[in-house]
Amino acid sequence: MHRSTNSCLKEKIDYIESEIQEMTKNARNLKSDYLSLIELKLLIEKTQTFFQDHSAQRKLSATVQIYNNDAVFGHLGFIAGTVATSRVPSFERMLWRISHGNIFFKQAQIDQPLKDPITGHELQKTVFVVFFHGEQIKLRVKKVCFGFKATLYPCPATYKDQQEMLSGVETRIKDLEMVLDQTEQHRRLVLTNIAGDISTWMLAVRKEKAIYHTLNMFSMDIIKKCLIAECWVPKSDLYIAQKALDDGVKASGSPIPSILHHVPTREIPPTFNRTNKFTRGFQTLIDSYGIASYREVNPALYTIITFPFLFAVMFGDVGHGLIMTAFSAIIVIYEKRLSKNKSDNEIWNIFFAGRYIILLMGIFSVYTGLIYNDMFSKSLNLFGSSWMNVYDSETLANHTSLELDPAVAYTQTPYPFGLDPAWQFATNNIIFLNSFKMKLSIIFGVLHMAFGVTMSVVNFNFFRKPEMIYLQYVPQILFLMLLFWYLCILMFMKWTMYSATATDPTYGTSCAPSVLITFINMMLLKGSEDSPPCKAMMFDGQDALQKLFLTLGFLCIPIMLFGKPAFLFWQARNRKRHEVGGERGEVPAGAGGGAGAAGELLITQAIHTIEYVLGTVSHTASYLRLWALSLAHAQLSAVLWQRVLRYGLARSLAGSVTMYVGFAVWAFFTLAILVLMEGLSAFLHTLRLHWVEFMSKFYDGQGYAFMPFSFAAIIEHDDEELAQNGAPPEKKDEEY
Amino acid sequence: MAFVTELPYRVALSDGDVHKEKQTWETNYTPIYVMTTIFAIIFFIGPFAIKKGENKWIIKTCMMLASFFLWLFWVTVYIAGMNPLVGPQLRNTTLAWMAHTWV
Repeated sequence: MHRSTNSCLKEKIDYIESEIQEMTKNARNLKSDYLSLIELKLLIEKTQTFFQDHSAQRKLSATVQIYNNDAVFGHLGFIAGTVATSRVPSFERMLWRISHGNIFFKQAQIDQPLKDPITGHELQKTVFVVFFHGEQIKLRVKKVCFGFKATLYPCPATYKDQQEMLSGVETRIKDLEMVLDQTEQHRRLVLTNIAGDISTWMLAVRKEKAIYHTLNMFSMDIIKKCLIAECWVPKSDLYIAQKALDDGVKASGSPIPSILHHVPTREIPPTFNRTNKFTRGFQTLIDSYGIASYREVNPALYTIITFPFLFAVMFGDVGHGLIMTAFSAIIVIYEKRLSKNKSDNEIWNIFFAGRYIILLMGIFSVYTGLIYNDMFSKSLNLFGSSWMNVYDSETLANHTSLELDPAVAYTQTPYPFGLDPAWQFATNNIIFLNSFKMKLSIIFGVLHMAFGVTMSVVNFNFFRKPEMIYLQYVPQILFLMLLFWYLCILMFMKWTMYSATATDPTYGTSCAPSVLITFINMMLLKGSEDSPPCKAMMFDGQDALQKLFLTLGFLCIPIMLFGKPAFLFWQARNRKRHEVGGERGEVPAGAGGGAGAAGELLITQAIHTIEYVLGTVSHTASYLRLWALSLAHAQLSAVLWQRVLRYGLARSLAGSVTMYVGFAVWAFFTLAILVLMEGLSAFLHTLRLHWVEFMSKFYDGQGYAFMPFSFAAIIEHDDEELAQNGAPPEKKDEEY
Repeated sequence: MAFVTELPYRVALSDGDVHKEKQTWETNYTPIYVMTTIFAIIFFIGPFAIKKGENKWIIKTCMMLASFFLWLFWVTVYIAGMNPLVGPQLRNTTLAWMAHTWV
């Protein structure tokens, strides 16, 4: 079925092509005839004046010579025609030269430009008449005219003949104009008819070209007279490939079946992560950093939640989150319709491809916005604030600003969900939030990084390298947790142990130690003094515990440094020992190279260790961007409200105009700066956190993508080369 | 602008009732139990609710990750607010309004 429609298409296209070519040729012939007729008409009109002038010449000569079939005027012969205006001066000069001045040249320019039938350009032409005496000169003149591409026309001498010719020419011109018109209409009809089919034909041709291009990659076995294709097929899809081959054999009616044969190979297969429309966006985010190595753990699965979550920590605002959710929800609901319009606008394409990412980011942002209690820089009081006013009217009247003491003004039970709404009005809001958000960022950072390091266990387990768990994972996670998770524990302890209502002043507000200073002192092994009633340490034995953690942590470093090389060296030595009676020349692959390979291994391991150890410090600090961006977002939001929207509120009737304008400005800046710009910024920072801080702990990313043959992909990228990117040497082709 | 913070041990209520001396409150731990239970249900039991579907492992992973991180976020904010060392510094108008409208 398919083959017959294809041959029909080819014949159809050939037929239409020849038809249009013939039409064009005919039209061109007609147009040149038309041009000659027009020129003739103009020639006759213009030369009338010439001939009238020379009536006096008749009196000059006595003898009248008759020339056979030639144009004769009196006893002068003449030749009339048209020539391009640009050549007239040289034409005239040439004529004068060859005739030794014995010719009479008269010219008149045609005012309106004429259309060249072949090129369609406009030509300026000049009518000329050459009067001469004698056969020789006539031949020479004709030669010159031919050389200058002048068109010659038979022009009658007498007035009566001229008029006759003129009327004849005019009738012919009219007829020709009608014919030309009809030809043009016919041509237009034919072209309009095929115009609708062109895109379908182009598609069919492109598909066929792609198929033949792929067929070219097959190798030909001349002996067995068959084509052989080597390709990668996902294991779980092998039955689909087999079925497709069977269907093809059936459809083509061939008696010889196609064979699918598994070929063992040492080559590294391409990486194929099966995605659906929801997970595709997240997979793209990870693949942009690097395609995962073959069968490596795929971080995209966890990115589905951690990415929107970390974004939301930086973006946390209920109002802006709702805007994002609404926008992306609309796109998701209408995605079928929207995906049909193929747009060239890259920004829209990016938004559309990431619609699920934006939807999740929006939903999480609403949650974190509720926790930060920030909605367009206003707080929501849903459960009743835990702070209350303790001052009487007199105190309030005398002081503009008062601070609430947590010992008396606080109900000792925090606001059940998130930050207390009272904080939004506080002028010392930032002091509390800074301390809290920085601690929060470090807690999330350490957990995220620990998660990343633990991912490497999945890899070691899958690739059956259990020794690496002890040699690499355990020291790494111990180093990270003993130092930085201890820091987080200190944070939780400070939050729970020190209180404004504590009866023992050691655990009162003025004695709460700075966690950061404690941590730095721990690392630098610097002791600190008790300044009564405050104690330097938070609990008994803290000093000893810290020293222990520090020692254990630093003991992990040599294990990280020498563990893997020592193990590989020991393994190679064992293998060599078990080779009994082996020839001298036969060197096992692992121990080959000897000292060189070991040195290289040590250097690689040293680099990895240094990278990891320094990385724990710098990456932990890097997570503070969660604090920085959320602070920036909250401040921008507050500024926008106080400086723009507030001026329209609570005014008189005339204030409604201010409100109208103010709201427009506020809404514009909210969307442009807070949602779009801040959203993009937070997106980028989250991406960086994932790529650098999270994935550098376990990700290899040395693979290449599996790119199966797909009509959809080819049609989408129709102007690019059909070559598959990232594929290994040309012979391998991916077939779906 | 004077920033003197005084601590008269009186509570000014909206109806001008000045009857209590220094009031003490006990910490109520209910929110922790409630929220932790909710998120624990989603984390431990939720995955068992998804039995079929081609994407069931993705959904299970997402549920566990999301419930853990959201709970962690909430519990960190809660613990941070349990024993505040400083209180909010508010304008007198705001304080009066708070006393009047927020019970």
